[in-house]
Amino acid sequence: MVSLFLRTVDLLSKVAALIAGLLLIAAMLVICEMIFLRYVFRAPTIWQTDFVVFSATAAMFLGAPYVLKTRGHVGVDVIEIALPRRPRRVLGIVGALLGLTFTVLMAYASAIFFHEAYVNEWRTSTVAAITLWIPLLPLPVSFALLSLQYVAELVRRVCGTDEAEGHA
Amino acid sequence: MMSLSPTSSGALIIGLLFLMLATGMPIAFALGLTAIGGLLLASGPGVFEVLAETMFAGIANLAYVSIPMFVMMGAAVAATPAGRDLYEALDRWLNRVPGGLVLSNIGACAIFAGMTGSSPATCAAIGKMGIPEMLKRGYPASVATGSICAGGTLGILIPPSVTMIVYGIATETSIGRLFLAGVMPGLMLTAMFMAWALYDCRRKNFTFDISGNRFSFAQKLAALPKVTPFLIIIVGTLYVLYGGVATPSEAAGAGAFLTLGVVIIMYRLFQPKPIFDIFSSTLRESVMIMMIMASAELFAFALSSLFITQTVAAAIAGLDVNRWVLMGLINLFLLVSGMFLPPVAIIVMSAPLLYPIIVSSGFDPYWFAVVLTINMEIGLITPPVGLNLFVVKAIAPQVPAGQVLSGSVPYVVLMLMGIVILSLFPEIATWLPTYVMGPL
Amino acid sequence: QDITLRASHQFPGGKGDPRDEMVQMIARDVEAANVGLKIQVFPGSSLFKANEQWGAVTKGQLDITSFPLDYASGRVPQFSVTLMPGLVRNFDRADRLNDSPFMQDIKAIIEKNGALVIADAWLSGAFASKKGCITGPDSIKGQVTRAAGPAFEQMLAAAGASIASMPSSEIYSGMQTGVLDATNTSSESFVSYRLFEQVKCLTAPGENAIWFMYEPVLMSKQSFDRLNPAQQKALLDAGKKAQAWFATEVRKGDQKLIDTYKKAGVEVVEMSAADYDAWLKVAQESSYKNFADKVKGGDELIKKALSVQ
Ligand code: NA
Ligand code: NA
Repeated sequence: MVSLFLRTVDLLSKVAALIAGLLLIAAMLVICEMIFLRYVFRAPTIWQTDFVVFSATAAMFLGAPYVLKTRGHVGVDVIEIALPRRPRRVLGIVGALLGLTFTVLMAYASAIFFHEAYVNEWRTSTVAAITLWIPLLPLPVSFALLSLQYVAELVRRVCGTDEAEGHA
Repeated sequence: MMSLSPTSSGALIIGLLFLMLATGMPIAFALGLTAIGGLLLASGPGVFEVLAETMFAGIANLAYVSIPMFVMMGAAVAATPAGRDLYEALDRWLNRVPGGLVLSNIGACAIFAGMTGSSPATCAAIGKMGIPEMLKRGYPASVATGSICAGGTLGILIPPSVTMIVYGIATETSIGRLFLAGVMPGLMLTAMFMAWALYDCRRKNFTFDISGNRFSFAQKLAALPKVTPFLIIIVGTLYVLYGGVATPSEAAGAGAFLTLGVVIIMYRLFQPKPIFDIFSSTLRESVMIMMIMASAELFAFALSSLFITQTVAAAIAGLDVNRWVLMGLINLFLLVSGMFLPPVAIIVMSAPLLYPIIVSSGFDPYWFAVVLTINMEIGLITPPVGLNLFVVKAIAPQVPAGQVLSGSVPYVVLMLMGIVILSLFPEIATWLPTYVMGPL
Repeated sequence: QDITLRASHQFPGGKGDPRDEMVQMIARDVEAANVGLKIQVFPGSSLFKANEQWGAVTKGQLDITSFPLDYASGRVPQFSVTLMPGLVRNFDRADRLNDSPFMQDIKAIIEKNGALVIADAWLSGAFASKKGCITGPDSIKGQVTRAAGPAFEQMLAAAGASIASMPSSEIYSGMQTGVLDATNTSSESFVSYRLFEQVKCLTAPGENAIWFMYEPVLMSKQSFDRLNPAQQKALLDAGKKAQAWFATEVRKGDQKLIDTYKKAGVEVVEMSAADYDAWLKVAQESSYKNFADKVKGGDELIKKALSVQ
């Protein structure tokens, strides 16, 4: 049961990261298209800037759970390293609980913001006037996934499975 | 709501942040959680209505899109043998020079820095080849790791540079101009690093063996075509940047596209695995940077809400001291912060605060960006949080941490000397942007 | 118990920017009125970013702000009309607009969303190009242009310009490297970004300007309702005074723009009444039409604005 949860969370983070990667590629291609249209044809570009900004931003949020899973978010681990095994584990659990607190609070805050944009049909104040809830959707999704990933990490730390796996 | 004085709430916030950082939790989340605490203190629970917007708007900016793009350029080249080729070519040409390998190492770092906006990427790409090769040829381990740690820091000084982008957005200065300002100081530091590394070898009684490993002129020439991908990428990106093709933010996307194209075609990178690795490492590094920036945005908002920023700024502005004493204090502040926090976090939080003070004290904002960046470079090779140290420790596990550290310390001194030289001759930073883009 | 209000804006603080000065003036006058009210000004986006201020002020997280109302047009689409080409024409007409039924409609919408206007302010803007003088719509054809405001982007695109988006801080290097041929922004930015070093010709606002932007001082309704009548009156009085001061100051700003550019050897022209009419025709088919199609009551708002003498 526990391992099914862990595997599901990991899978979700990976799927989000895959989408993030594709969004980054899309942003890169659209930048090139935009430059090409303007430089070669002197043609106006309307929706491109919004698309590029929002897909790259979405990629950064959607990639965050995967980066947490692979321990890519930098931390100050001097104290952690200096401690003996048991207190180090306790400190790690405290850190993960604090991290979880942040991601849960932000999941709540982004859900409020997303909901407001959705019901009020907010748009961007640009020519393209993109429906705002679409680029905002990655926020609640990302923080919810981050929270799940943190719960998974806590499970691993409490059960001590993270040491067996090693720090990826 | 606000019942504490700015000074005591400031002390509370900083204390809270340090406690959280001490658990080893991600810096991004520690900054964010502290910020939420401070904001609840300043404005009450209503603040939840603006948290998500602050964080989102903090990074949803066209200029910031260039960060993952420049990181991708570095990741793409790092995934290929391009680094080895560059390194080999330099080695063949510098082989007869005493200590040529050190020069190739630092030189390769400087050239690679021209293709990536980030220092750890530079460090990893060149270090993977450079450190084992130097150890194999008997160079002192501290020289091998030190030159890579320090050479890698050039990634954020020689354009493109992630820290310059962040500074440009935070202070509304021109990113194209900032990039140019970093070129000559970057070359100056490169030369200083090379000179020190050679001297250090001598000091450690290492005798340069230039008898073996001779390369014929034909062999030297044969190494050159392999460097062409680098030239194509660097010249292409520079042309897009300064040739009237695109704005700096857009140039990053074109640079990433060009790099991926060159890498995939010239190195026949058609398997999914290496391509997957490029995107995985791009995501890891750029998400790490951008999450810190988004949270730093929340943190800065909290500091301002509690009037801490304004109190500190007024205190600095009220210091009736010589402008160079002020500059010294600012450098001290940056150095100390750099020991603990990664560059982007420091810049997001301090640039808006320092910028007006710098300008009103008569310093050139582009010159200051260079000084700030060198401070950030120092932070990358000082404990406890030194990204380049971590990278080098990971690629050279056989070298003890103490040696990695002792090898890096002299470069800290060199960079401090670099700051002094720049203070005496600010033209080193300001001449090129003025020459290319006209006076300020 | 004294009340301290927080005021936020995006302009440089203490540097003589009239938009900053306007807010600082209100703060000084309110404090001098001795009604137990103080305003703390956070300039230069040091509290909220420009785009976040509308959300914050309508939710009561921010008390006072000065920002281009068009920034909120994604949330309140009617606000696009406050940065619509050709609707204002010159400062005298801007004064008449302020009390017209058109602006009464806008202010009612602002109030419905939880904020109220304590001082009106209209900013003028100019055009400039590296190639030649921008006068009628034909003169911008084929030029890569950075426009301030989406309605302008639509109109300029309809006139055949190629639109490039970039923050105003990149205009200088955009022109310098040749990415940009022409730009349109506020008179203030034209001076502060030193674009006179790059451009060949400036189209100063004058009598037939097509770029005007509404940038009022707004207050959160929640915060306003918390105040006692004496405090409310002090605020509104200070707002009126700041508004009058700004209206004269902004005209001096345009003169400064013209002087600066002439001194730098840039050719300075103005649009003629015929140019203005020609632009209006392009706008009718692009930005006005789009606004009327997409925004409830949009058509009527434009008609009301144009009907002001
Ligand atoms: Na670089
Ligand atoms: Na450090």
